[in-house]
Amino acid sequence: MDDLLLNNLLRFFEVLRTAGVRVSLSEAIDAIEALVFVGVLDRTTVKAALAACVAKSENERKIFSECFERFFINPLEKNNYITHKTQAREQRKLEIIERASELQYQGQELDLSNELKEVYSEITVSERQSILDFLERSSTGKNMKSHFKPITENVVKGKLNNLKNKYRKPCDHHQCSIFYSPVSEAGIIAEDAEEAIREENSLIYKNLSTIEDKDMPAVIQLIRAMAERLRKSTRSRLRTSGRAGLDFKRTISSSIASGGTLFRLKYKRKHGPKQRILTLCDVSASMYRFSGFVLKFISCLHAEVSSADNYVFSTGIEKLNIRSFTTSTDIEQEITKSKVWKKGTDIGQAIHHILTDRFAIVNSSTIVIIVSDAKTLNVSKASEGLKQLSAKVKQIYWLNPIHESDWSEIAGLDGFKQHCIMLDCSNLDKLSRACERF
Amino acid sequence: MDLSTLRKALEGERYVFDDNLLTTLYIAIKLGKPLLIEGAAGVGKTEVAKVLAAAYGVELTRLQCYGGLDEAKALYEWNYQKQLLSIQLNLKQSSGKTGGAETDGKTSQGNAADQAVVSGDANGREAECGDKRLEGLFSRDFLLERPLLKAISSDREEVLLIDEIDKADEEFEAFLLELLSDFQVSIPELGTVKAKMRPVIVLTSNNTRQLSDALRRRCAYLFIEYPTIEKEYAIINAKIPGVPAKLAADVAAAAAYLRNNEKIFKKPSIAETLDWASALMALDQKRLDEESAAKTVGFMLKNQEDILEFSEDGGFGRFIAEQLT
Repeated sequence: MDDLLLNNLLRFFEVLRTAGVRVSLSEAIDAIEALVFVGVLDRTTVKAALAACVAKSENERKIFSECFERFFINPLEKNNYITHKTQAREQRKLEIIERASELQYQGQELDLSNELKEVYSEITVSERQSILDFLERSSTGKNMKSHFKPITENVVKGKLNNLKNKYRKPCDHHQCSIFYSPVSEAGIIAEDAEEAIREENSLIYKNLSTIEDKDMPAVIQLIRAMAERLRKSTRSRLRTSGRAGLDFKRTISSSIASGGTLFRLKYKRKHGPKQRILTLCDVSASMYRFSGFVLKFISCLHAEVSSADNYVFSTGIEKLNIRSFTTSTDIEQEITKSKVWKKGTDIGQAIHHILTDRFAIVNSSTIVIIVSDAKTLNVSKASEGLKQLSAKVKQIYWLNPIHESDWSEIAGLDGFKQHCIMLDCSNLDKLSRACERF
Repeated sequence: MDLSTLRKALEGERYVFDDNLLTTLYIAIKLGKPLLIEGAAGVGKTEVAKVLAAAYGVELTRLQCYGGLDEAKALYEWNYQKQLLSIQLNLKQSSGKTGGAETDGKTSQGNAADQAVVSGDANGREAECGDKRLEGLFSRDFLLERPLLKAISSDREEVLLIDEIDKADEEFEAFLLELLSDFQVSIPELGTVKAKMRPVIVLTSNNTRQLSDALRRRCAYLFIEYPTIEKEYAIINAKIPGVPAKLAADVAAAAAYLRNNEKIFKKPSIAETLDWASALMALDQKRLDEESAAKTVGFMLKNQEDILEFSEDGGFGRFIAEQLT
């Protein structure tokens, strides 16, 4: 294999690694060796041979395919493509900065982060006008002093932060702003490939709060798959480890037939305790925008794991007697009619109820699933309750529909994370990845 | 085996495949890597191993995985009963010999010194013999070979299928790593058993749980998607001789229609499509119509919820109106 081809392959592996495909050294060697066997004349064969050696999951296959199509093109075409991408980004940055410069208080530009400037450039004209009107009123209002700027600035930041979720790009990286965009060839191709995959699967990267009724079948499929996985994993955990120690009583009694010789050994069977699932779903006002997801979560989980105990909570808590309902619509109606629907949130109170309720089965074979945004009253009580609950149960999984990068803004969340596995399920892709943890 | 020979061998088995599958299979064989095949249930993952075994002209060695599967069922087990019988037989033989020595002793009572020497030698020989017998108890003669050991002990190239690896426990998956990377297994009493001829290993997974990166790294990878309408049409024709062409085309289109319906949870597999086509043939259908499709829907949809969802969505009537007329 000549140096040019080898160099090209190594650069391609770098692109894959940047895009999130973990290509190990041995896999890279396998891929190069594979090309020796199949040759490099047929593009389809080369693609299949490389994919067999370096892309080891369905998701990696998709990334590989997108990266391959972008990387292995005519060198001149690739140079133009990289130059064009770099220029387009620089242009976009300038536009964002210019657009944000119109946000002024008494002639002074507001001090906003690059991320918020980007949000401002992406919002609709009416939303933008609303902010500008507010700034205009604030700047020219009676007794408005220049040192009021930080207050005005904070109000604008608050508005933009609220709009951030709506316009957030579904991105795995902590920072997916254009200001953090990569400049290397590998970075540009990898980011472009990621973007293409996102566009192709726009639904699964959609924020859960923006999911519409027409998207619900896909949401239902995912939750059902997750529930099925949960059911299977609890069942397989029961069977794990095969046999236990020697069963002397049965061995001796069966040896009578062979004149006392211990001819056939009998082993004890391992019986794990029957595992139970307990779900705690937050149906408070702050979770209202995710209500479609939460309602489907409860009804689908019930369809797959009928033995689960389901509770809904806000400031109070209610147990759902799901077995008395026949359809998922009945379950959803019952929840929306309950006293806890769209109230404040008190996670500590809900956990306290679970810990003290004699009907709630909370022991070392219980798996607790909490669905909540973790925005609660009385954080210390909630944290203490969670600590007590985690000591009693097998595992607590917390599905949080808020994007992980915003968790730092939620009071007490770091404390909650110490006692449970908190999983980001802000979109269907994240939810699907969270399912794999069960 | 080169690429064109492999292609001919697969075609000879009436297996419908694409270039991607062929290249991946060829690379796995050439690199001597196990092949990990993932995809939804019923897309033909197991069939790859069966066809490969037929192409090699060997019997397929198959290990079906399940929760609780351990090395005793997958690799080897000591034949406890045989070991016991051997001990009993040896005991009888040695007691016979000892009895003989005692009789000889009685006849030669006069020479006590000689007897002491003979008795000392006999004890030494017996101890040596005992050690050898004990070693013999843990030899290959007393080993029950399970599929994995059988595959690597074979003198000729075997095809080993480790089916539905995702159903096995994580401990078993970790146990497989030595076999998959070095084609050897360690048996504490015997040492390391290396493969005489590297078997072609095919692992399949329905993706019900994530397999470890360590296992993935050791394998070549193939993902099989549901077939396109054209491919499924070719499969129906290849597997069901005499199927009316229009019926095969309708069934392939209907299967794709069902799989694309997001409300259906359990998507029909290729095997189910084949069963359905056979059922429709048994009803003397030359084409798919609403009545016969409704009567035989149970071949494609295997739970009541999916059947209800599908009928609420217009059922086969809608499919026929939209796509077959």
